[in-house]
Amino acid sequence: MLRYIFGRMTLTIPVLVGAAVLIFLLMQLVPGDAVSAVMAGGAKLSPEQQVEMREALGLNRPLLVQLGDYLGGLVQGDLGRSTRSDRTVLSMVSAQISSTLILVFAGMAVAIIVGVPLGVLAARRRNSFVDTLAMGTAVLGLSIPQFWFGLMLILLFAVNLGWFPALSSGGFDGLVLPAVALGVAEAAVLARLVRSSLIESLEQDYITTARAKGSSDRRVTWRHGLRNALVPVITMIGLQVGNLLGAAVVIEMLFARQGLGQLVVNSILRRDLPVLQGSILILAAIFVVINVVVDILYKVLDPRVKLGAA
Amino acid sequence: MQDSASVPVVATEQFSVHIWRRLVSHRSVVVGGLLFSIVLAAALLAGWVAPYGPVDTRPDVALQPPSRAHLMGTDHYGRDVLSRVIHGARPSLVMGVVPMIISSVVGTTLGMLFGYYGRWADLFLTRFVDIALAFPPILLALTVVAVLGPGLWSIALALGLSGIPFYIRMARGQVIQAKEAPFVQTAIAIGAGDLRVMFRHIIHRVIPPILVMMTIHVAGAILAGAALSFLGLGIPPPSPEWGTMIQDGRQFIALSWWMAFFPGVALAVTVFATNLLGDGLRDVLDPRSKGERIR
Repeated sequence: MLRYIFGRMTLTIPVLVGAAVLIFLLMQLVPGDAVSAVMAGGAKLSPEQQVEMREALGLNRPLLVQLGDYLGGLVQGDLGRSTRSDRTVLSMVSAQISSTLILVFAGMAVAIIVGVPLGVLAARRRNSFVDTLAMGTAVLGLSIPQFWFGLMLILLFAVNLGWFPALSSGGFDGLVLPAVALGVAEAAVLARLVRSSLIESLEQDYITTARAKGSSDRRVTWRHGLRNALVPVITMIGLQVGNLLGAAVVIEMLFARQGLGQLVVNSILRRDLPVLQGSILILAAIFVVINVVVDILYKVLDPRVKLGAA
Repeated sequence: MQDSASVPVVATEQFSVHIWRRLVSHRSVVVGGLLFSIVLAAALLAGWVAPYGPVDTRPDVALQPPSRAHLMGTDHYGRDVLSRVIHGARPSLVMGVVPMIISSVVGTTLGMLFGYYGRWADLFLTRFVDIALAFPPILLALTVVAVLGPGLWSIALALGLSGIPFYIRMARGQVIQAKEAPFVQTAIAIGAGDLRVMFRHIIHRVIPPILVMMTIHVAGAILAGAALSFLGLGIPPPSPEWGTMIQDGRQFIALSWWMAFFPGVALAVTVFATNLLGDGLRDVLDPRSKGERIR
């Protein structure tokens, strides 16, 4: 088991390095450089000062050298410095990261709490009216734009009923609406997957055996059926974290909530490339790490899994 | 040669007729197709059906609730929301369809070629796909928009680029599986050339899941495009676009809910229609797939 965990973690290193290289190269395609970004921010620099600053920032050196420097910095936890303020990217990112993670996990919790029971219900009453209704709701949930749904939640629960704040300033009250807005689409994905996967596993021989032994319907579904049905569901949850991280960016803007989303969007609008580069890289790293954890969980649930097979 | 070639063609025709019959009798396909046609008609005929011009401002009727004159009310400039919703179908469809075309053409071609020829190039490509998939697609698109600058076409291109790895992975997987199938091995043994094997035999295995992926991709791309526009990275005002309209409506949400409500309904209906089409296609063409979504 330990060997599996270690092996799985080593596999992420090339992916993370590749991700850093990819994002670095993408940033090189942006027209203008850090110096022109500073000037666009209102700073007046003479041509000599510009040359000096490019020299100081190392922008005149060959691309490969700059890339090497960037990667070297990353290893030491140096993500560069904002061109708009004097803060390091690392300090800006780490100030926001927990808020985003809390939102993503809360969204995932909503998705699981709503999606799994809905899928089980639909699978147990397969092809009934309840099933059609549940799956219809799920397709609808997949089709509703999360940011619009969030706005409608604000309209109903903040503006009209006054139960929750319209802007999320932290705390549990401020987390409810954004988490629901974020989780609904993923709940729909989970419900559909749980349904199809549970139907498949309820057709297996061991289920017939369990029924023959006299286990109750409920026990067969939840204990025998769902346990095996959960294996693909766990993989899907890992993939969904990526969607949630992406959607969280939009939801944070909607609720004016602190987090990496604000950082990303503002850095695009202000053309603060080091901050953009750093935050996107951290978001990708979170996604990769969570998927490693999911793979390990997967192995715990299904001991047949081999390294590299999934 | 003539004879041997004509046999599979006949078979394919019968097969496609069979598929077509099953599609038109599938509830999701019919409902989805109908809804999608309405949206498509709105996009094509916007100039004729919309009661007002999409950018005609009339400050004297600003922020009016839905009424007979303005079925969906008016916005803060007195523009008719219904007319803007109808015209907004165009950019949304562009943001859904253009990325799908870019990703499917590039991704499927690369995936098939590399899956078929294998070796080091394939290894390189799969590593690249692993790396690209480490980024949530919308974040990759966001970064590309930052590079290209805001606008409809940069969103379309950004979403198109970020979708490519999904098609590569799907097409490659199908090709690698199909290559081992007896009918393909037979074709190779008879002496069929690479191109013939790929585009005559293997492609039948690749097309069904790719078609399903394309349909569902349109749904995801419309949502992602609207989200990027909502963030202020889309078409500059005053052109009507659903995501931007929702952002405008957000500021007036307490005062005039209709500004944000109706564009969202239009978005949901469009995406719902596409999702239904995708689900129906999957039931008919590729019933065993679990269906990962590109978002």
